[in-house]
Amino acid sequence: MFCDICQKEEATIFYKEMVNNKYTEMHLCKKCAGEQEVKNLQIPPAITNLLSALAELSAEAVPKEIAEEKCPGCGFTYSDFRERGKLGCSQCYQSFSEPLSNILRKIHGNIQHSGKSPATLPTPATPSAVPPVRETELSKEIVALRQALEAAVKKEEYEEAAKLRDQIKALEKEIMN
Amino acid sequence: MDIKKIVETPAEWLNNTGTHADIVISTRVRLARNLDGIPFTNCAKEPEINKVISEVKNAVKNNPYLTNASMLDLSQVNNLVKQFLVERHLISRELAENKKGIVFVGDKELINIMVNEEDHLRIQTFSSGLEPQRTWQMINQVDDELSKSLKYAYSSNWGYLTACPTNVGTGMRTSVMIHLPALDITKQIRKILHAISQVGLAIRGLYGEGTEALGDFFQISNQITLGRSEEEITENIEKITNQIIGHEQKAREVLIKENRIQLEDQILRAYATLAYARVISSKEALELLSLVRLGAGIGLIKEVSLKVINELLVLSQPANVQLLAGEVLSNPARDVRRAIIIQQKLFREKIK
Ligand SMILES: [Zn+2]
Ligand SMILES: [Zn+2]
Repeated sequence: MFCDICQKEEATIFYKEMVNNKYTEMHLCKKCAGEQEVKNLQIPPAITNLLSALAELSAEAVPKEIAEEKCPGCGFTYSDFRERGKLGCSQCYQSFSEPLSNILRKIHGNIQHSGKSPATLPTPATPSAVPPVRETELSKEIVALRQALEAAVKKEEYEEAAKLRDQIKALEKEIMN
Repeated sequence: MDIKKIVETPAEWLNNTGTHADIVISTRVRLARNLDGIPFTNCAKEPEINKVISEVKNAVKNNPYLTNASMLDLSQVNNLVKQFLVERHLISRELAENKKGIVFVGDKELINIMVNEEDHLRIQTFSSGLEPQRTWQMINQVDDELSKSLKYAYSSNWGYLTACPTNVGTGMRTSVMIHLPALDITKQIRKILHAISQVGLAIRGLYGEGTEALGDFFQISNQITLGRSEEEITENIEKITNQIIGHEQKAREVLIKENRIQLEDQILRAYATLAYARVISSKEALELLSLVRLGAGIGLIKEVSLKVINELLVLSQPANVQLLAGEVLSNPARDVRRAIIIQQKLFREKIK
């Protein structure tokens, strides 16, 4: 039997290829099979990685005053982050929240956490285990606002989302105090 | 830590007991955590790095899931041992290169904690087979317990704050190590890998970032960590992995039905080479083990267990070979020793 591709050499290798749920049989010579062979698979790059997100956003120039402003926690600037691909401290998220939220949206399609939170640390001087009424009411409000925020982000209504975010922040502050 | 003991007993997650273990070797879940008020590792000064170490040490001591954990200070071991630990998936390459890295290894290597990697803590749990739920529950408990004595950097907007924004939110990465030889033989692998990359999952070779996929072993993991709960991440990876398993099973059936002799010939030739060759490179070992693993999975090779093959995947790596030999070996000497190690394990541990 001759090779299906070159029709010249003796076919010594058989394989099946699945196309649209049907197997096609191929009879190939060693040489043509070698060319067909896709060893050392090229793994397709993940669509969402930091470098591509950063590269895509390079066009959207971050205003200089933002790019050069230092994070009070670690002294990093946004430019430092762009250079290293890593933030300096947890406060950086607050310091660079605006340019970062674009990046987070590119990477995760989302800017609002919805997973677990740390088990509460035992605080040494807790007056009572039950939170005051006002506080639980506020917490409920925050939960509702967060859901609205998530919905707004999904619909890409970012202005609305920003408003909601500020409301949440204000309420959280109130609870902290 | 007793390195010698770790060298001789491969991790329990290689033992082929989990769901679909013939196709999925293992499931790993990792959580990235940082301590509040201390700069991330890349920016922290020495006293701060030491503070992280002492706080984590203390938290580990009080953690009921880590009572038998042993600690290894990576500044105290040589590069060969570090490479060995990378090959065993006990530390990352990044931690190996860090001067102040520490790792805690739990009982049977099912839990470990890297300290001062890119993030202050990288907690990991492992299971045999496809077990995203169980592996997540395990790490969730360890994490809850740790957070009773460690104050994590966390915000209600962004979740757990990490040095790289790709990990922020849950800080969670679930990866399954999967073996897809029949999809390769039937030339469907590229299509499947492409499809996986389109649904927000990442694919890597056996040893993480940028490593080529030898022997049809892949790691599939979630990319998105922000805006999805841990349960959603877990369910998603379980669902998609089950679909891939379905394709691999179907491809195996078709090969057996329509190409039995060629398939068996290929597998048994690989087995014969592993059993009798005198010189085996690590790349060749992975490729041969892949075929033999397929042979054991479809019941063609009955005398070698999947557990032994899984262990050989790790034991045939360069640093593993040298530590098993008890000496540093040149490349050619290593390939000779590798053949001996493989044959000892194949024949001493034959199952009846
Ligand atoms: Zn030809
Ligand atoms: Zn900072």
